Amino acid sequence: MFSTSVNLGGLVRKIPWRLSSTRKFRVRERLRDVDENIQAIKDSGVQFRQLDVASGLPSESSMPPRDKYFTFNKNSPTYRKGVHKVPKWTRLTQRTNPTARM
Amino acid sequence: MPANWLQRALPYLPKNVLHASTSPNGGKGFYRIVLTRSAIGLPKGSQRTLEALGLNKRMAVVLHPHSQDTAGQLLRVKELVKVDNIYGDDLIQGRVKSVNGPSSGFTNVGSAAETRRW
Repeated sequence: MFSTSVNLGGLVRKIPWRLSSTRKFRVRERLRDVDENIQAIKDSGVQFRQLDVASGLPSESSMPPRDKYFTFNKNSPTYRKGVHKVPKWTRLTQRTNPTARM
Repeated sequence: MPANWLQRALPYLPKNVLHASTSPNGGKGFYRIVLTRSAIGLPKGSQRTLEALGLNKRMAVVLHPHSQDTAGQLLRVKELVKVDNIYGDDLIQGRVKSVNGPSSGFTNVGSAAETRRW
C-alpha cells in the first residue's frame, strides 16, 4: 500500500516526521530492555567476541536524543531521519552512527 | 550452595533442561528466556534461532543452561526476548516463583464431588 498525492485520489498513509513523546517513551523502554538482556548475558559469566561487541553498544542512559530517535540517512540535508522510518525499527538495534571513511 | 542442588531442582525444571543438565558441562545456572516479541517479518535467521531455543509462541518460557552457544543465540534475538539468570539455589529457596511464568491465580482446593453428599 502506497501513499498517493491528493490530486490523484488521495490515499494518505503518512508516517509523521517525528515521534510523539509517548512513542519516544516506548523507544527508551525498548532500549533499556535490550540493555538489561545484554547485562544478564554478561552476568552469566560467558565470554566471546560478539558479547564484547554487544556490550560496547552505548547504553540508553548514555545516548543523546539525536541517536535515540533519529538515524543516519544519506539523502536528507541534515543526514538524519526519524528512527521510526526504518522498517521493523522496534525490533532492530540501531544505536551507532556510521564512521567517516577517510 | 548444597552439592545436590541440581538434583533437588530437577523436578521444577522443564524437560530440555533435564536433558542438558545431566551433561558434565551443564554449568550451574540457567537462562530463563521469555519470548516477548514475535519474529514475524524478521529475517529467517532470527525466526530459526527462536525455534532452536524452543520459543514457538509469545510469552513462551524456556530454561537453558549457561553456555556460550546459548548466549550467542540470545544475542541474535536480544530485541525479542527477556533474559534472566536463575540458579539452582533460587529454585530451591523459592526466589524464582515459577519457572513457567506467572501463576494462574487460583489453586485447586479439592473436588466438589467429594463435598456433595447427595
